[in-house]
Amino acid sequence: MNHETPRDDAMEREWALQEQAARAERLGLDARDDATLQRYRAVVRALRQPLDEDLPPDFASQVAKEIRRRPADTMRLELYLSWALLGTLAVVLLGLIVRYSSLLQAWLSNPWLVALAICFTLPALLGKLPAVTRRLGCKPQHRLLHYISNLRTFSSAAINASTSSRVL
Amino acid sequence: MSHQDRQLVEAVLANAPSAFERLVREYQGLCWHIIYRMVRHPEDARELCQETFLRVHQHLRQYRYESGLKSWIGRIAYTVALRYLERKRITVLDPGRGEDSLDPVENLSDGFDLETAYSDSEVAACLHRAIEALPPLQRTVLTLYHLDELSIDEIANITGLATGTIKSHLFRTRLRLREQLETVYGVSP
Repeated sequence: MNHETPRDDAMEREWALQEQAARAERLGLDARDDATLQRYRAVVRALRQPLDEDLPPDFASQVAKEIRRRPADTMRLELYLSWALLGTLAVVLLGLIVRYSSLLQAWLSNPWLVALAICFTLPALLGKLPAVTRRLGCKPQHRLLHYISNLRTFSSAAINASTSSRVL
Repeated sequence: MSHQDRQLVEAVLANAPSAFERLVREYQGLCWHIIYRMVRHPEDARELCQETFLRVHQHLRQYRYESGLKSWIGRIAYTVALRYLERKRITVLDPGRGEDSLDPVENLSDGFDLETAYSDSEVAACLHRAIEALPPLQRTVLTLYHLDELSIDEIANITGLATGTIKSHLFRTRLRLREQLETVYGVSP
């Protein structure tokens, strides 16, 4: 099928007639003598008729009700899935600990490695503390923030010290 | 994008009471016209309309105000209906009719007053049958243009077709309907 706009003269005239009929029906203009225009107006009139079937009058409220019902279901499913995922992770973690317990013991017996792990995890945990307190609704105290900041500086210094001592 | 539409979208996103119901009431007519014209099965069309609005609600956060809300919702309705037709293996376009039906432009007679010869209801019934028999896409394009009074650009946004293609569908289908009307009532060239 050719999808181009009508372009030759006959087509242009026909298109103009169709559009004239559409405009006349839209504006409710009086009928004129042109027979072709009248036929197009009959076509347009039929096309402007409401459809034989319609949506129920309470369709909008039904859909809104369905929307209100759905988030609870979706949330519940997400909650179940999260718990299932957490359970799986816990089992895997436990399995890994059991499997590599001897290796872990060896690592834990090395104080430098333990100190290094603490130095990496402590700043990350403390950095999250203000966000957690904000979420819980309590304002973090200025002194506490100062203390956290000092701790983070201290732990960074400790990392540097431990790295340089290992290099030496 | 009108200011009212923007306010409505923001109200829905803010979970304002009855905002989404207002949005559905505003655009359910358009969705119904698109889906029912494409699908033609009332029960399925109602379910698809509901599916459309569930999708609208689900994806409203992704709406970037680039096109009108009407076009955006219409596009979702059109896509939902199109997928339904694909699942049912129903062709959207009628490949059998095209160029051949153009020639009658010059052949149709102007000298016969059809409306004085037949009653309005007879003519209307004949045309309704002819409209129902049209392929889904043409039927929908004609309805959006004449019943919903959408512009060609808006229809192009909804269907994803070029404006030239929309014009071509309008032109050929209206011509075909006129031709069928004259054939049924014995208007000879």
